[in-house]
Amino acid sequence: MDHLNLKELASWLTTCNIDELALTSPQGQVRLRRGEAAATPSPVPTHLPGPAPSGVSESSGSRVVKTPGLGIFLQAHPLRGSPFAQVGELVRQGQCLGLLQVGSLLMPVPAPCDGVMETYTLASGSTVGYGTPVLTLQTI
Amino acid sequence: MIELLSSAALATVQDQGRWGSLRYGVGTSGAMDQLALAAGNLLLGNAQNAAGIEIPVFPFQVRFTEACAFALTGADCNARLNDTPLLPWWSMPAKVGDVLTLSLPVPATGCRAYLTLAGGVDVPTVLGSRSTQLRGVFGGLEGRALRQGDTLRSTQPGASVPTGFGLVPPSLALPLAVDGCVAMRVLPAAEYARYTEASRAAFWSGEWKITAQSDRYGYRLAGDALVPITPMEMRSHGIVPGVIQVPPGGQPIVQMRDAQPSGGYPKFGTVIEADLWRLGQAPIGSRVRFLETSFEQAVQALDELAQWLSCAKRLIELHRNSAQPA
Repeated sequence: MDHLNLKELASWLTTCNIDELALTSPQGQVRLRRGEAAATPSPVPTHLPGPAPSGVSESSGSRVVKTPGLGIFLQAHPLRGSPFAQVGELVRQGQCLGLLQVGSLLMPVPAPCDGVMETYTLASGSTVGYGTPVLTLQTI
Repeated sequence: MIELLSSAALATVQDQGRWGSLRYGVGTSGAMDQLALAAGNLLLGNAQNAAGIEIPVFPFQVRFTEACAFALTGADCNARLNDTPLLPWWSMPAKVGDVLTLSLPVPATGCRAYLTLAGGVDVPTVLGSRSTQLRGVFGGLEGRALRQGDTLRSTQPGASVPTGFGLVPPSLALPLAVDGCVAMRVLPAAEYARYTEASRAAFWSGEWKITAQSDRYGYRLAGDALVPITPMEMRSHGIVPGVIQVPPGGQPIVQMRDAQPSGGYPKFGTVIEADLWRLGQAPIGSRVRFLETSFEQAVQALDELAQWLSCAKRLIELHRNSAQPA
């Protein structure tokens, strides 16, 4: 996260009248405060979330798939009834397993690796941030 | 560049229409679902008025003879790129040799699909538009529907644009239905008051079936016949897409995008411009309803469409700026 970005973020905070912004990305964590909020720093969490954003966190053969961005999580395309993957279905790396909706825009939640669909862990329609777990895959 | 592999019956090159030539007797043509075509262009960063391919008959199949980003909007046709299923209302990259196949539309998602290419389909502009004018045999590709073996290229061959995202179709964001039937708002027209009260009431309360005699020129509807209080004979006068004419038999005809610019039948009403895309996506055999509206509401409906498009454009631009070209 370079300084140019930080300057731009700071100017957006001013424009949008936002006092505090916390941002977690694969490169680390940033917290920006302006006005009175800057004078009283809120405690910094001692446990920083690991750098596992759109990817995967591991527990013996089961991989948690997380959102690559923010929006409303959808298990199925709005025009189609059935979810992108059924339990037990073989999925390929890059295959779309869910959608993130922001307004009318739809962005994919891709499979980070080949695997077998275990279960969606988040309901359709949930508002999610960056790196929210939405489903688990059995790795193969 | 793309090459048509299927017989491609009735598929045509269309943009948003040929405006300003009615005085020469040249109708507007343009996409039957202008919103879907505009959205397909937005997904690729094209101008909203860029030309795309309107596909009303399936299966439809093309081969990419050059790498090209494309988008599919309109009816959900369970499209596949080679063997990979594609999402509806989505943008994708295609490699040289990839084959795109569109199957029969999923019911209730429309009857026409739109294929747009990054840069827009490159055919000559005639009277300010690339739309195919079938009646006049100009515009589009040689003024005709596409055939097997035709090739079309983009105005920006090889353009690399971000893809891999889509839009929620406006039929879901801006729905309009009555008792489960797709509905269109209608302004009463000049001869409306000259029909019996019973006919006027029946027009608004009844279901209208889209008959097999329906195409880009006009939709012939079937329902309770519209009966004039006294018989009418009129001279030919100017008409535009959306005008609902009533021939002597009482079964109305809605003029569509390839409407001729004049006609002599009495005018019962006009489907508002902002709802013509809904009718353009209503398949033959389906039933539709009409809702009476006012001029003010019709203008407001157009504003809502413009707002949907500008909002989609803004979100796509934000997303494109944060993404790397494919």
